[in-house]
Amino acid sequence: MTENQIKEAFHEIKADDTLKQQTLKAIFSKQTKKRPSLTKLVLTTALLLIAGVGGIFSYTVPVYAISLDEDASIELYVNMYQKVVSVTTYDTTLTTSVNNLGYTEAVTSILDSNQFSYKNVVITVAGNDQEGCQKMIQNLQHCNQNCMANASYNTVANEMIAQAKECDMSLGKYNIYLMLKETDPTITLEETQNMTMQEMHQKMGKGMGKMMTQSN
Amino acid sequence: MRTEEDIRMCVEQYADTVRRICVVNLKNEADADDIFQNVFLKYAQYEADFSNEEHKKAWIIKVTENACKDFLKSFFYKNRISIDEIKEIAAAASPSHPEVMEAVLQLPESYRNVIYLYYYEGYSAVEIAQILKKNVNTIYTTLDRAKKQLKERLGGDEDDGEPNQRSIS
Repeated sequence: MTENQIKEAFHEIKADDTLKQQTLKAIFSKQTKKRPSLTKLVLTTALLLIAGVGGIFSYTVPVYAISLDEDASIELYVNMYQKVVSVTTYDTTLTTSVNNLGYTEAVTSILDSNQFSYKNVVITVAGNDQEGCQKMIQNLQHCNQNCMANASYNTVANEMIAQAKECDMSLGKYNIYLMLKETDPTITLEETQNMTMQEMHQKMGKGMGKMMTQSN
Repeated sequence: MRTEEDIRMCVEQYADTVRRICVVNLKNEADADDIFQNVFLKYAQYEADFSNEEHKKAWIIKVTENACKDFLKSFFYKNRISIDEIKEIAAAASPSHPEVMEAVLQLPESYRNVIYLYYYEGYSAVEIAQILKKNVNTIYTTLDRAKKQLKERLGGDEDDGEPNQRSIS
């Protein structure tokens, strides 16, 4: 027996091409069908959970407020997905159910219920994003076959939402109160709380006239 | 996950090595083919890096040996192959030296891998101990006994000297 004979005997054992190709085919087909590893599965589940919780959380957080004011007032709080997430009414006779509707649909629905008039309603939009507020106003003006084109629109700073709440007034009404106070510094919050928007506008008109007379 | 190119290169490079260990251990073509596929599938799924080619080769050898051992321990394997069957397998595996292959296949299971690694791959007893994760003295003893048994079956000088040393990471 020689070492060479043993080497030669072993050397004759070869993996043929068919076996190699079958092996590669089996490996690649298993790789494409490979189930995700447990770590990847756990990570993916955690990410989905975070995204889900984050999504639910972000859905409930309002980023804009839309105040509709005429004789009565109603405020819609809108999330980043442009959906109404909560409603505050400042008149016990107002009834509405617009949660989860898009804001244009919600406003149209409220105005169509005849609790406000398309012509006299004052629509005030507040939010951190002024560009977003302007875009919302444009969308409202052009929705519902331009029925809301003649309404009055204002955009105000986001901080005003909290200030109005503290005064127990709607955003739109509080904004008019601040405008009124500029023309008539003697006016008090209590006085305006019981006034309608129309009365406030009339008073503001008088104040404006008075200011103009004084300046002349 | 290893790249397709990496897997192809590994199969090309170590197919014969894996096949030889499978045949030597399993003495059965179909079983050898199954284990052959499993070894390379394990390579494809093994994500750690090898420090060098010798390290990779040692890993392949050890994984093949383990896969064969696991198979031999399994419920399905009937470890009773007749002398005639061994003759057939040896003749098919090594047409030029069937008597040598037959003698190798008749060695106890634990001797066969050592003989293959020593004579064909050229590893030293120390290197074989490292690859198979066994005590070096056990390898020396195994080699000694295996050579004696081969000599008894084949005649001639069983010891052709220590092969060249190679480093294994």
